Amino acid sequence: MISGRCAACRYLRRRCPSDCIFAPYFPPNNPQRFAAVHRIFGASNVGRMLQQLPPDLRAQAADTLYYEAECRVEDPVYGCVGVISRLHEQIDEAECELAKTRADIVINSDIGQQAQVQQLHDEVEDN
Amino acid sequence: MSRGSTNVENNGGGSQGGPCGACKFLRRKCLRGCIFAPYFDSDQGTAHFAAVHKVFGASNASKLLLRIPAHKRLDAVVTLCYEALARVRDPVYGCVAHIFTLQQQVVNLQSELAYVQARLATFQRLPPPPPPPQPQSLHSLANVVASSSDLVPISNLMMHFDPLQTQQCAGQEMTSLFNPLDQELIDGEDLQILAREFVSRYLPGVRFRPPGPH
Repeated sequence: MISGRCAACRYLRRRCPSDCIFAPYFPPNNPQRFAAVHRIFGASNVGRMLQQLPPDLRAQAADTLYYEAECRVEDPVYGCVGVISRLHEQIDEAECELAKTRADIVINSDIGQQAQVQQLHDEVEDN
Repeated sequence: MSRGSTNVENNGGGSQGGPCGACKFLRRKCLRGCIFAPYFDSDQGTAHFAAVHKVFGASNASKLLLRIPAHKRLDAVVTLCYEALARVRDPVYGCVAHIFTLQQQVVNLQSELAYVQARLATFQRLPPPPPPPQPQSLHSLANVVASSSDLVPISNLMMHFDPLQTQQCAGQEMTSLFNPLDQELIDGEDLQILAREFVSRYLPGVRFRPPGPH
């Protein structure tokens, strides 16, 4: 039925069979999803990759393929690696900030303890 | 993939007149001006191209490279090889597993940072506590300062990728995670938000290197 075609079969302008490998993961209401994976991976590669997986893992694979495709469309040179690089930078910054804050805690706790020692010393002298 | 497998010096055809790694794999004549020849030598380049061909296809890879300025193509080939090899190793998640692992690591670090910043704020706001002092020795700065990151440096990323850190995650069926992205072009920030949602919803069993002093 033409009106029941998945996004992939609509894009490829073909009949959508009942056992279409794309249909469960590329619904007709999201044409951009298949357009992205087709542009980067190609329909036959995506179909083959999905076919080679157990059915319970295909949805995840389709999602991660879409994610990779979108990354590559967004950044044709670096793709997902650009995202990985930015995440590494964020991790480095967060760890650096964490180290500084921990050092500040130590300094502040040292100051507090020194103040206590001084206070005790003063009390002893008064007595 | 190491950059040693590239063959930037040649402008066409493989080294020493033989086919490049791509044409060797495709069993075709390596013509002068072959788009792949500068980047896939006939040794390791053949194996890398095999992965690129399996995941992206030669035609798609060629179109991708032709759309990129020549001075950026080497980087593009390196990243394409990385993604292809990751997808061959992990057909379900590919390199995306690595992204989600790192995203969760960022979230964990930010939580810990918020916690220690709140602790610091209490030290700075309150007066010194009354005696008796706690019986603990003063820590040296060296003991409490977190060690420098042992994460893979970006420059070595291509040689040390490990996208398989979510092997032990539960395989939950995913609902349509990408619907919010239908309406607009995804930018880098949206991708990270998406990654964060994905890992919190579908990868509860992901393990991460705990931050802290080593």
